[in-house]
Amino acid sequence: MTNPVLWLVQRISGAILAVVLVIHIWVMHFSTESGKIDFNTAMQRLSQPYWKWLYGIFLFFVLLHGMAGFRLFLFDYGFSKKKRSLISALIILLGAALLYIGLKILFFVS
Amino acid sequence: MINNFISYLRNILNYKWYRPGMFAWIVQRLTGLGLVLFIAMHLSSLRKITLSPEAFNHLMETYRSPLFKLAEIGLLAGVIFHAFNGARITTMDLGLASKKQKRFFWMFFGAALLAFAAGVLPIVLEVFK
Repeated sequence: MTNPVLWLVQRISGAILAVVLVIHIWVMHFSTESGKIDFNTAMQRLSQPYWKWLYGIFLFFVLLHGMAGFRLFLFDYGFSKKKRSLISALIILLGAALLYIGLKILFFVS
Repeated sequence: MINNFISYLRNILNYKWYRPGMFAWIVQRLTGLGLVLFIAMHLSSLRKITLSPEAFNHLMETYRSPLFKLAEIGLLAGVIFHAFNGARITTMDLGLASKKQKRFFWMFFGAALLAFAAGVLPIVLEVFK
């Protein structure tokens, strides 16, 4: 039902996310001077290329891990082969849609 | 079809849901689902930054309301449980501590509680400023 590559992707992306998520929470909550994020701070961050690219990669791993996990969660129910293929296709679509939205947010300035 | 689903849920809850292993299995999936939904909501609401400064600032203001702060604490708890349990699963996948699974679970749960306390403290302090 599941396959070994996806299993490995799940573990590796999970490990990466565990580290990057701590950094993300730190940056979002503790590193702004006044403690408040507003439009200007956000735009300032978005104007730096390295920020956009790092967050793009972060988002990619989040969606990999999340979509793979979501698929496993659904498969625990025990669907037939045809339904599993349909579910996999829908989840890939969902991942692509979320990635598109995320990248649009990150790169809309340039 | 609905009956199948209900009996599926019943089967899950029938097997010792209060014991570490099964509990972790259930909560990992619940927090995972919650996190996927959170990501979808997070991305679709952050799109407001592409609309106008007022829309985005208004969004940031709502993020500071008490309800959202509570939800944020729930989110932190969910992420921490999911991450530490995932680490536990991965260590067991690597073949470590397979003879001490229950003890391992409590070790990770203890570490998770510490991390949660560390994370929730700034949020709570911020409220009482």
